[in-house]
Amino acid sequence: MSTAQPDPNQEIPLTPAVFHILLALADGEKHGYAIMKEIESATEGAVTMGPGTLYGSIKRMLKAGLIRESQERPDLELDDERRRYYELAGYGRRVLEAEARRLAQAVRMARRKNALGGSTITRRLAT
Amino acid sequence: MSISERIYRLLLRLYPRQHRRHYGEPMITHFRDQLREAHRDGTLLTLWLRTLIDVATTAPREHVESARMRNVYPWPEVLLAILPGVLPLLLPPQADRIERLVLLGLAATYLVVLGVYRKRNRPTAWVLPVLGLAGTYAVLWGFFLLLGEWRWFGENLPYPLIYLLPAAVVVLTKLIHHGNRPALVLFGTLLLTSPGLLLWQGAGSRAAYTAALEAPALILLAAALGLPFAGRYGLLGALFVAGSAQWAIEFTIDPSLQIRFGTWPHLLSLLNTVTTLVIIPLLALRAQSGRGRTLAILLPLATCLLFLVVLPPLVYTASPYTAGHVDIAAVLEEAVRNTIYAAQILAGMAFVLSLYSRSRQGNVAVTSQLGHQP
Repeated sequence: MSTAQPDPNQEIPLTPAVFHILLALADGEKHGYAIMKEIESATEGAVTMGPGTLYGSIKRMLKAGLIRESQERPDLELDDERRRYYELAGYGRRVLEAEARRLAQAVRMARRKNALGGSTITRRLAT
Repeated sequence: MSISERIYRLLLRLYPRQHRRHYGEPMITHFRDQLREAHRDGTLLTLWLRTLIDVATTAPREHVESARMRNVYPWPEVLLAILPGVLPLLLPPQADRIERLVLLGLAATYLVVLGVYRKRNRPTAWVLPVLGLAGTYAVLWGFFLLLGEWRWFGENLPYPLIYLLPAAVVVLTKLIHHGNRPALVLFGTLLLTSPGLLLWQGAGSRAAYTAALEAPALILLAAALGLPFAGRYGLLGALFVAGSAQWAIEFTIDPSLQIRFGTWPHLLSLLNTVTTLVIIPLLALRAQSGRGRTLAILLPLATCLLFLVVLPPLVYTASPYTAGHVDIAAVLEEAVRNTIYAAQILAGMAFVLSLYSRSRQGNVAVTSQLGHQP
């Protein structure tokens, strides 16, 4: 008996926090601080998350089945403290793809209407 | 452990316990990592500013989500639930009493009909106090219509008896049938204090009957009306019904409790009403936690002690009409009377709590013993 898979479009549009967390996990599992650092780096400091925002979002994403916890282990680059790692679930990957397509469509429309301004990020998007 | 980390651990206590249990350590680890980076970059102040904003914005949200997950009502429904009980306060104090009663009665009747037709679906919480109020009015109107009497203060009739007797019969039957001993003891306490008050007042006057029977009558009526709801809503339903029904009646029937701004004893009555109608139901939302139950019990206790026992003698002695002519005997008499009144209210609240408190094991309402499905 096949079970119907949930429709990823019911989750979108995603909040910026959720989108960036999913994006950060797209290339492999990470712990909370590493997720935050990747988001900060990818957005050039425009998006920073405190522990409350990050773990509140992680809690809701775990409940929605977008991500899952993987094994706790230390990050030897930081210290020997055991950290909780998270990875993208299959459903989370489909939701991320759906959201990325939606945003890409929005960027195409903005480009068509010459709505992209002269900032660094928008110049990168335009190329 | 650094001072910053100690402070952050204290701030974490603003989050719900469940959330702290699950995510407390990762959040502390995360903060420690941020702290290490901030010390390196010299941005400690910026980190603390962001952290305080982070806690201030996320802790309340986690509490709301935690409350939703614990099967309590969402906050919009809660606010709607207490609004009908507050409605009598919005009526102009100069309005004729019959006018007010008719308006309230019409609104309540309409909502009762709505509530009945929604019986198949779980009624929303906002229906509860209105149903309690409407039921109370229905009992009163029924008896007064039967007697051909439109005046609320029948000259020779102590009106609390009218609803005390049927309410007492309903509740007593349930208690004896199901052997709820603690509730029986409290029920007895409630009733036995009434003759004491009656004797103190002097059994000859109608006012004595009214004063003696008012509190237990209202509480028992509210408890009886709350029984159908307690099976579904437990303590929350009982408190909503009790608070709204009692104080709505008080404000529409008892002229001494009508709002007259500028007279501060009546402002105190207003405060007491807001406490009963608003704050206690809100605390009852957390009745599933030990802290919530404790607060839901302590607050009426404090309110009763303050408004009925402590303040009246102070008001009396501070009044310009009695300054310099303090009658100690009168002050003591009022204090004793109000203490008995306070004991009745407290016994009533404890009675309601003992009827409708959820058991510790699985949040199964004790009212399942009363034959209602939880």
